[in-house]
Amino acid sequence: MGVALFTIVVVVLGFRALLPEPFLRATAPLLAVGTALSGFFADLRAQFADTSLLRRERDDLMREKDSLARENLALVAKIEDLTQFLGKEPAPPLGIIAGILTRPPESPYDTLVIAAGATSGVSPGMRVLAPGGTPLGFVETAFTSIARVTLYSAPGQSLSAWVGRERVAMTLKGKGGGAFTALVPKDAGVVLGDLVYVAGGGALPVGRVREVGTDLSSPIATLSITPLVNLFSLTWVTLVP
Amino acid sequence: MGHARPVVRVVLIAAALIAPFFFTIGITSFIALIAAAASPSAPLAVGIIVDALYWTKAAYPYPLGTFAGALLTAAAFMVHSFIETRIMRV
Repeated sequence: MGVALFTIVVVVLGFRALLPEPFLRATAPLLAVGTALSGFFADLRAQFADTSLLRRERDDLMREKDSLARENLALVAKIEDLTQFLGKEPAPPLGIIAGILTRPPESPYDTLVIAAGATSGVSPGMRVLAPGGTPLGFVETAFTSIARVTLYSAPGQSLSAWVGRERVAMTLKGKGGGAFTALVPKDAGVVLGDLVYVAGGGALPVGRVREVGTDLSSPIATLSITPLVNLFSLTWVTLVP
Repeated sequence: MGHARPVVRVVLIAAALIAPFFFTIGITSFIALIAAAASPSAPLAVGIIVDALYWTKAAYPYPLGTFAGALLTAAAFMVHSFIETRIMRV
């Protein structure tokens, strides 16, 4: 049994090291099935959730949607006024839309495998955006029809960012599972719910402060930041240069 | 488990090896732990498969799955040898 296991491991490792693209292509159907299964089980869990709780949640979301729609109309009017004053801004670069083959929580390292590669114009270093334009990460390896993406929330990643209305500068550190942590001066005035932004065509929101950890003996506060995008239910992303 | 039927052992190990494709890391680890009873080297194999599928150097400086699998395998070997020694004494 040990010999058989050893053989399997050597074959998997050799396949990945020597033929990385065929390895990903061969495993892609299984990864896609895994992602579909996790979505199915999430739906199944939702079926058994408390219906009164779901109704309350739905009502809250409807109210929030109406309020956001009104806010959006006001913002559109404001943008039209400003555009008249300042002139049109250049059109944003066109992106490449790619389906996701695997994502967290199946991927424990906060990496994605996407179904688009060099033939679609994907190249290493391209930024990966969630629907709505929230930055998620960057393309690390691009093969002909498949690419591997590292998310900013991966444990080895750090990223310059700002937090709150005062745009306090800080360095985001990936914690895994889409979450971040960061250190800021205690007297910076960061409060729960403050938005966290990264650069890219203006300040782009990536997360929200969920916890501000302070220690009486330290002038530094530790922020726990949750992502604005639910990585566990993403199905497609946009890639931009 | 050392005396379990070979079919059960094969099923356990096969389940552990395909788990990284379908399940979250928590469930995969749990299945790998159960499979360790059938073959102590199963957690190491599962860790290597997890890293082959998902690990990138930018995401984590070293392949954590392989190291965790190696640790579990070492522990499983110790437990197996302990159990075998006890059975021999009886």
